[in-house]
Amino acid sequence: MSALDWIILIATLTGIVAYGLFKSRSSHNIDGYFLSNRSLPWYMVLLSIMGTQASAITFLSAPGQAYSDGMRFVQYYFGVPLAMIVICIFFVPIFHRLRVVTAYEYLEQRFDKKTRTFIALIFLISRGVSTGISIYAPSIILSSLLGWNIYWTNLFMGGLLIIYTVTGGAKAVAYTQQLQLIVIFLGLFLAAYMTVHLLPDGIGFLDALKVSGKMGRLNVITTGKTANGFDWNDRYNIWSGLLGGGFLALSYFGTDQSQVGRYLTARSLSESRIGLLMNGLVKVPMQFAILLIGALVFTFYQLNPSPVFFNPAVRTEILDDKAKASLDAIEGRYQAGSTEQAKLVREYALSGEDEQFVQTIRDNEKALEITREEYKAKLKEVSPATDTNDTNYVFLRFVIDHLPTGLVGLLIAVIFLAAWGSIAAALNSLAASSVCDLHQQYQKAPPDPETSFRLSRWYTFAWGVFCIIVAQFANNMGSLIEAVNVLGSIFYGTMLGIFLVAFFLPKVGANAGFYSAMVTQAFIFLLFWKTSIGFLWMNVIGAGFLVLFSLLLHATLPKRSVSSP
Amino acid sequence: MSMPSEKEKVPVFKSWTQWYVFVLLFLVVLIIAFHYFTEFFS
Repeated sequence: MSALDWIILIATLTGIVAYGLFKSRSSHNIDGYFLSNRSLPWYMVLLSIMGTQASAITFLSAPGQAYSDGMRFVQYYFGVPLAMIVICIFFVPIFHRLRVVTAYEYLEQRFDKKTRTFIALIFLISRGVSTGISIYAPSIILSSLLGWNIYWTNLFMGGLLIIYTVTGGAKAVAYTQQLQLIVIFLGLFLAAYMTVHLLPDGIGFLDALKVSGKMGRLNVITTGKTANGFDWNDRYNIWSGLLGGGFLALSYFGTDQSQVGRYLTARSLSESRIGLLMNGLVKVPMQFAILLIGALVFTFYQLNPSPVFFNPAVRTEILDDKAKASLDAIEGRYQAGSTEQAKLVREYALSGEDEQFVQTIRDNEKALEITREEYKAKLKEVSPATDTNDTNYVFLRFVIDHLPTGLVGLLIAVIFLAAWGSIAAALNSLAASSVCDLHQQYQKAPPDPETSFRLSRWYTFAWGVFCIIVAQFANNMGSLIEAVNVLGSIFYGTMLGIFLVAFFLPKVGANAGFYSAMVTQAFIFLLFWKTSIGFLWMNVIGAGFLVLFSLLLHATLPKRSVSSP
Repeated sequence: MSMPSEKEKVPVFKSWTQWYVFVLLFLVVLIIAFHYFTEFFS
């Protein structure tokens, strides 16, 4: 990185921390610290919801996903608008009416304390670990590509934001997210512009789309249908997106405190609803735009020689001369093929439609992909512990290798800021749940506001340290955006299921609810361990199983504690 | 800070139902647009 990149990176990050500290004044009580005194307007709620969901992994993995698998990943977000509507109708009015601080508080009012504790624990474990991954994911990519020490990178990625999150709570989180998103959108717009600008003379945006489309990277809508019927293991198609993605979004926005805590900061029920509905409107186009950048990067590498493997650090770690020679031989073949492909694709982009020509460049691309797989297999053979999935490295490698000085620093800052936005909200919500759902529930004396405030700060700090420790131990998780989503899917089915029972089955009592939640969680663990069902379906299966099992228990267990919200 | 009330004024549209229909229609339009986008460039 050049001196200018460093200046831009340090100035941006310091500016955000300073702004967070400037906005850190909050009331010394639980409502002030965790919910910003329920005072924010809808647009702040919207930006906070967006900033919480869009982590660094979103901006690193999504373009890589489009590069390797096309834009069909966007279908995963089709369920978001549906979920926003359901949450606005059923979830938000109840949370507002009961003036809860955490979503799990409602479960105690509806069921009992043990159900609240169990679901809060599920949340704390899953959110705590996934936040650790959210720190590690961008850190490992930055450290591999820029030669930074991974432990120090983890510390800066997860550590600096703790300063303003601890001091300012939800208010500082929301205000910094607002500024972070402005920088993120500016950085991404410039990256997209430069990707098109770097295309060879005579080849414009539409030509780039033409190439990308012919190579199967603009496959936004897919149905999952194969010659043998519907492919249930296909992760991204319109049905898994609408149904599986819808359930995942419902679980995430409706029951995950990191999101519930964002829209409960709104000054009224209407402002919460507008914030959520606007998120339903902008989320899909935003993801489409991010994936389109990945498709453009793919076209760029079709028109220019591309690296055989996007994570160069792996190659430099191999010391065996014989292995190095055979990797070099494969890379040499790949580079020759890639150069030839660039020549052909340029010719195609500048000329008109020619199906035979298209078939030739498709065949060449397939041959190059086979060579890439051969290279990865060789890497795995000589170094079995190596992670050969380089999807997450594609975008940043492109940025570092091809974008101009200054923009590299800005885009690395974007990665940090995206990470900070989601991690800060996660720490705030982890502390909220720890204090309200566990600590205060099991302490004997009722706490005074000042003690609760200080305790909340300490919990925020402790969760920050925990997540950094998880990040220091995370490794070999494949595509990291998927790792986070898979982790969420294992727990979200149970979390959503219990809320669905609470809202829609008022006759199901506390014991039936609690035991069905426990059995469902065990069942989902078993499914995850023993089957290869696509992770998006786990939410649907988990929530559906819990609802049915609770009805079964309700019919068989003695009826004692029956209540309604 | 105001107390929560389900009878608060609905901005832009006359009712929340109209808001929900609008969000749904927007999603449908996006899916149709994406379908034609996929077809056009494939």
